[in-house]
Amino acid sequence: MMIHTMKKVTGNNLGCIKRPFLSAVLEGFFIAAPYAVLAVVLSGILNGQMDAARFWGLYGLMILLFAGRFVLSLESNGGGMIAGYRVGGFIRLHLGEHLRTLPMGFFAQRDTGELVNRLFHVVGMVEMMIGHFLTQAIRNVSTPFAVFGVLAWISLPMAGIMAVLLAVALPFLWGLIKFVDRQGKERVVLIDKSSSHILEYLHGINVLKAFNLAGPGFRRLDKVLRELRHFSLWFEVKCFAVSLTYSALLELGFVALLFGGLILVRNGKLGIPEMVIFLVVGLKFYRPLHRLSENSALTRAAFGGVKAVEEIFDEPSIEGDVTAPPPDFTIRFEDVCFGYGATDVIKNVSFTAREKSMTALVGPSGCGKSTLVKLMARFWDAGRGRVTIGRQNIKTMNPDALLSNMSMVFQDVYLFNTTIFNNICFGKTSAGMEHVVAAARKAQCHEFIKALPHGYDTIIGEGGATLSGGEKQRISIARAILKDAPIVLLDEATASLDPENDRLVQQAINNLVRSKTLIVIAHRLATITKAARIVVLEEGRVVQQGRHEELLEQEGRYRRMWHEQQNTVGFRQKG
Amino acid sequence: MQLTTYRVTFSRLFFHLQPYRLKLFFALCLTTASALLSLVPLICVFFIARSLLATGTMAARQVWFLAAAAAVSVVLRFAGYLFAMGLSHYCAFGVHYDLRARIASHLAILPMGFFGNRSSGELKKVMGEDVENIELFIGHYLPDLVSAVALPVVSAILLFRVNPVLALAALAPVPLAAFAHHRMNKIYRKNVGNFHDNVEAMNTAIVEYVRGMPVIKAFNKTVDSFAQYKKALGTHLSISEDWARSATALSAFFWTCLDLGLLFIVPAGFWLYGAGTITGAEFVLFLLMGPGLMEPLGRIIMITGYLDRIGEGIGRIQSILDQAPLQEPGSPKAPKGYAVEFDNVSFGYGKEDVLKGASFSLPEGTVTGLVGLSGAGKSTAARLAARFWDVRRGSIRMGGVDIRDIPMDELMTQIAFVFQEVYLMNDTIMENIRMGNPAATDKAVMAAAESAAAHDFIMALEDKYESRVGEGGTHLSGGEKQRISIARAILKDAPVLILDEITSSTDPENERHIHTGLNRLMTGKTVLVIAHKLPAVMHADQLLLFENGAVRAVGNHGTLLKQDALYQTLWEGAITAGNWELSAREEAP
Repeated sequence: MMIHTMKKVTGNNLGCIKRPFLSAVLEGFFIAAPYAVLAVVLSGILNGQMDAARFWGLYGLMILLFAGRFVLSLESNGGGMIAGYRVGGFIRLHLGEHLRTLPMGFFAQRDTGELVNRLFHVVGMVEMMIGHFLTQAIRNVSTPFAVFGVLAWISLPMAGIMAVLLAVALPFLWGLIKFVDRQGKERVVLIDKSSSHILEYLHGINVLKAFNLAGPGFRRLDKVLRELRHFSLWFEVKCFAVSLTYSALLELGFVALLFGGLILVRNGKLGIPEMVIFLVVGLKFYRPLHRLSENSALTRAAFGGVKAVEEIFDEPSIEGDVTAPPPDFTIRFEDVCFGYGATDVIKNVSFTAREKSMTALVGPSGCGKSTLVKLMARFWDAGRGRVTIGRQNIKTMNPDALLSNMSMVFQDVYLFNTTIFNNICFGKTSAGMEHVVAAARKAQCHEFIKALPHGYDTIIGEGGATLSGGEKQRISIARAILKDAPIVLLDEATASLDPENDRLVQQAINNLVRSKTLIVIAHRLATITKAARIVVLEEGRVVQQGRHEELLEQEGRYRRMWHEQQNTVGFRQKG
Repeated sequence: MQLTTYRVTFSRLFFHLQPYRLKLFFALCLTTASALLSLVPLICVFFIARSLLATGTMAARQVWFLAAAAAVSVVLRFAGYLFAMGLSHYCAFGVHYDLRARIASHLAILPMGFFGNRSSGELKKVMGEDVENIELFIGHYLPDLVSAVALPVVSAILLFRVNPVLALAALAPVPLAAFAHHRMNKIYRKNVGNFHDNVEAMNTAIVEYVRGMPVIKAFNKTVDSFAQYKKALGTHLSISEDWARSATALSAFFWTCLDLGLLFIVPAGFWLYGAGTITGAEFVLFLLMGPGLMEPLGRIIMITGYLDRIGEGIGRIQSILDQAPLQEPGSPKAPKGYAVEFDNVSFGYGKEDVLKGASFSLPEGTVTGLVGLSGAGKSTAARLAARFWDVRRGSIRMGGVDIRDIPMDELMTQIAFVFQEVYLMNDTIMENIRMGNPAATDKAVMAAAESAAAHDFIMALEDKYESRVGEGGTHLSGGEKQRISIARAILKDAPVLILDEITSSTDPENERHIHTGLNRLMTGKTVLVIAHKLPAVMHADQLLLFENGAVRAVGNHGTLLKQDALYQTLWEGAITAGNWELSAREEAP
């Protein structure tokens, strides 16, 4: 099962661990082998039959075995570490490739940055697991196996006793593994919970203080931290209780061997030197087995993380393979229903956004406007009904090919942690400086970029220059202008801008949308009065559609919204 | 140099260990004792071997005694170790908890400005990873370290007493191992920085790759971005493989060394036995104890490797705990009334002042609008009024009393602050609003929500007021979250209300509802409103026009429009902003 999971997360690239693992098995044998020689030497010495020539011959053999062990451990240690990094590399690669195929909804839905961060932390653990814990575990199994062979050769009855005694201890090792598997999962949940509480506290501390709630806010965190302290302590104590019982039983086995040996000696079934030799060599049987409990606990703990990675691989990939561009760019929603969870937020929506014309989506917040735009771009796929572009169901289209026809400008702008030039260039990598500048001019951002100390080479984002919301927005528009796609989706692009920026962004947008199929989400109705079609949404349904003038004439939602917006109420205004 | 760092590390660590020192000391003694008990069965074997090899037989009483001693030692050893681990982990998780709690409660008394300069990720790392490393150190490494030192030392003393020459032989691999380790360490120090930097770079690449996925996909750049990621991954692999390769021979040698005692004990023992210096039983004793002599060395070396990391972590923890808290007044005064005055206030985040001698007053019971270009210092002024930071020069007074003379609790009771960035706890909507006034009834909470135009959308949610927000909860839009935070402030019902761009992400319809709700509430309160949208504050009792960190003009909308050129420009901009339109050309179908 472990192998199956590992194969899945590495994309069936586990071949590289064979050599180091096999070397670890052999290394275990070579660790044991000198003790076979020692048994012969010791038996010779104790029986008084050892001459120097024979001794040095055997000693030479011992050195050779140590040398062999050294050579094998080059492969099991060094090769194991390298294999660990390779396996880690395969997981990183395979995971990255898989993430690429997931629908965008997956990324928009949760704090993926945090999630991915954690997953990649797991990969670091896997590198350790393959490189250290697992190779050690293998060695710590193969060594006692080989030593057992030597012991059986020294005295079969003693070896028999030893095997029986071992059988008493082993279930506890099994129990330890099961315990780590089960409780480890609970512990991870609790650790996640505490770190999200810590983050919540850190993010909210100013608000908590402003409401005089730093105390209660702290108590919320404190409760989780106490819970974690309690659980962790008992988790560790229980782990130790099981693993130490295993170790104690192993060790008591050794003591029982003393006893058993003495009885066998008294009955004449075992020579005295053999008994002594058995005990000396027997120690080499037990030592690795003691270490095995730590190895397996660590291995299982790391493996628990791998299972979290495996879950990502169970997320379904987005499908569709038509790459040919659609014959035209008219977008149609045909009876589309969709919901993020159990309840639909889009209910039987039908409308047509004609090619090279503007279609506006309006309605109160939460009515599903943004969801419709995201369905067009296949962030998610429609539940029932279909969305088509040029009569082609977008579900059958290759997502990359579909998106090559679209430019999107979102309310939340994401810029990459690189130069402004590269960020704008994102729209078209082949573009040269003059194209980038031209796009920036159209997006009304050339002026402020030029004023920055490094101009277009200014790095933005973390550790770089900080830009205002409006500036970021205009860069994102420049990016879209450079891309020059036939369909443009605008999602409340100007909602959070101050008046000066707002005017600049308007001009930028007007430069972007000439003769495009334009879908725009707007709060301010005044901006979309020229739209060829206005679709009015309410609670996920289309309640009205038509031109501005038509809609104004009808009694309904649109007219009410229009009039409300004509006389906005401000602070301190009566009625 | 390194020793001093260790000393600083340990003295800081022991400070935090104060309340646990007895328990921890006891735990360390127990681990040491239990480690030494592991020698008992070996010594029993020695006695049995001695008696049997010398006389060929052993008295039953002696056999029973030895067997019992061995068995009891095993039970004591593991029971003791279990108890010791329980104790050490009790201390470890205790310190773990104490440190987190101490940091968290210290953060609560720091000036709010402290958080502006630091990313929450950085603080989270300190409260998470750094504290966890200390827990590991106290729970596992410290007891292991003590027993790993005690066991070989005691064994070596025992062996030296039996036969010094053979004891030296048993210890012969130590310099070899030390040499190998020294070389390994050199390679480690040479590579470790590079390695971690590259891991960091790789993780940044993947996080950016994932966070930017919608953009990456929208611009068909999955292949390119992925190539970048792959490149980082390739570098990571080649660095780590080079490192592993350069250290392989040494590490293999080191680990082999730990078992190498046998190769020295056997010939030396053969020679000494042949010469009659040692007995067979003594030879056997060395064969039993010799290998155990070296094994703890591996552990010691592994643990000391962690010390650097722990030291760095403690340093980071200390730097937070050393931050000076906000000064509470020595002789607290109560404000007389709720007028707020700025008297020649200067303040800056860095070297440069953002506010430069700003003076103005907010008369009690009036609404004041703060307007001006972005970057003029409006938000800073609002935050200073709530003592996020203390002013550099000048003073801020509430009801005639300098706010630095008002206890923080008291000040915060008088001020309700609605932030531009909304913060919601991962709890129900009901509890999130109730933050404003923990004593409020459900009915009061709902009334506040109604005033904030939030009631309707809350009632449309599946679990209504019991819906959870945040991770794994209900997804709320920016405007919806903002309305919840407004409801919270409404519920608080404080005499001074500060609103920072609260309706920027709200649609016009809801903006209207919110304004209606707030207007009802604002009667008799001292209100400060920062607004992008001028029309929203045009009816305020007083407008303060900010420019370059100072007040340029004061007046109401009418007078400013008549008298101030900047205000006129802003107003025109605001008017046209509402009226722009998109004009995609439509062609015949």
